[in-house]
Amino acid sequence: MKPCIELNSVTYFHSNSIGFTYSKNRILNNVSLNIYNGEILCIVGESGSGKTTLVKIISGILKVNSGTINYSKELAGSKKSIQILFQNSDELLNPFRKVADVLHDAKASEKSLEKILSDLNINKHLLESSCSSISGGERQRIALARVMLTQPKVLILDEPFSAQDIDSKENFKSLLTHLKKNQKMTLIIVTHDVSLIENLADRIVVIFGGRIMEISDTKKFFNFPRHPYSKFLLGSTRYKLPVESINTQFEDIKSICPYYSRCNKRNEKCIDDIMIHSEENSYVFCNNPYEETSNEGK
Amino acid sequence: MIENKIVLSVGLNSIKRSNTNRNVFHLKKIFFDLREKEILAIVGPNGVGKTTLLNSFLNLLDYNYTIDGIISLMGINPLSSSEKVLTNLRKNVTKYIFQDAANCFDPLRKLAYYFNSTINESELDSYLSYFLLPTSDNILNKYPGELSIGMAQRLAIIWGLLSKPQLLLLDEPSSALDAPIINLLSYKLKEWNEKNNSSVVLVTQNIDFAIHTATYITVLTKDGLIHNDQNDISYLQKYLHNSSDESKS
Repeated sequence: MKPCIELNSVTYFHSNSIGFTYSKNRILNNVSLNIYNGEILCIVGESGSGKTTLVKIISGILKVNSGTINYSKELAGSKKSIQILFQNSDELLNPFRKVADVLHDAKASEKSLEKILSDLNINKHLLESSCSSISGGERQRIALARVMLTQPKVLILDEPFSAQDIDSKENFKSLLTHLKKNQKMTLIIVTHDVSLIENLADRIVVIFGGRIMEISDTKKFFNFPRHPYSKFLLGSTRYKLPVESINTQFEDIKSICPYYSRCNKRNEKCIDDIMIHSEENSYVFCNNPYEETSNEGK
Repeated sequence: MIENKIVLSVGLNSIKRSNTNRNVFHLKKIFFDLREKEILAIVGPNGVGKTTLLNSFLNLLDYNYTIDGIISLMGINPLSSSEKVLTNLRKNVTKYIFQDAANCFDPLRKLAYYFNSTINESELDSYLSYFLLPTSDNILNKYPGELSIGMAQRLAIIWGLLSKPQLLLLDEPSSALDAPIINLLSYKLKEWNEKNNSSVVLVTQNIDFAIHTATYITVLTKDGLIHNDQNDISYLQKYLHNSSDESKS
């Protein structure tokens, strides 16, 4: 299958950046990734690791410093085909405008507007209020409605669940699977809540310190995370991990692997080289990943 | 048994909002006492008025709102006190970390502005490394816009913890944080609260976080604030579902 977006060793740096990177202020470092038509791709990782920067580069808001991005013919044709929903719910909508005006920006028909409002569980009386007087979660849902009205081919969602209550989260999830099935939309979801995406994503990308750590199928990832950071991330959801085991007093050693100072499987080789272990559809960027056959990870 | 001092005591019959095209929005029947060394978590569906309730504790609501009831914060009623007393309450007695933490900081000032006056440096450094942030000389001469939202949120929480207020108000402190850091935050909040004889009011959507952190959890619905002492999850979920079913119909 041919990918619809192809990133080749993309590097992005900012002269004043302080992201969680140890190498020359690079926010993204040598990221290569293929995104296929009609899949749900989830990007997870620590905050400050460059998730938002990566999706901004995919959507074309930021220009890369080195490396290339190739779009398929379908996507390159129209500006509208890639849409992004930003993270900060306070700044999504213009506070001086009415909700109805904001939604009419998309120039969609009344029918599709009504359908999306009912899909997203938005009350109709909200339409008449101004954007400043509604709550953060409602604002997020209205911004999503506006983005969806433009009928994009690739939809990027940056932390879409952050301000939603339990019901809306479930609602969102079923809507997203519906979009994928019926409209064959490609979805890229950035999130920090790993437990939410277990039944949603097709593939998962784990990112740390501006580098990709693991790309894996969802089933494989949840059954057997191979990278030490992935294992740590999954272990700490649902409060299974005692706080004492999170090493916060780490040494600041310059190495090519950003996870080096917190890693419990590191060795001397890790300082200047990272090996890529690849099986079908899954890649691990680590010298000593956990092996499926051994018992040490269980 | 000697009970701890009451920090915040709330008895609100209703908060009404008028002067909008929206249906008149109101909260009713909110009664609770918060003592020293206690953490109260408030959960509830979107748009039910959690942030409005937090704002009312410090009299931050504008003239569109009418409040019927009494609030007592360290013995002072913020709803009927002078500007001077209110300023003291907002500045010295409490600390309020807003929902979008990036907006806590003035975008035109460097972060050092917030951490220079009050803070002892070793304490700041220990907090920074505890929350997995870069060191202070690395982070403090930056502008807030250069931080990611999760980093800004952690810094805002550290800012709140360092100033050691009597009452800490947190609006969705975990919204942009990943699981390991939420773990760390939950542990630190409990420890900090016990050590400084403070109290915390926490608004969150993350029920796991609430259960692991709070002394007791309340659910805010359209019919008022519902208490539950035993932190029973099924009870919480039942109420969350009921309240959103009503809004659908």
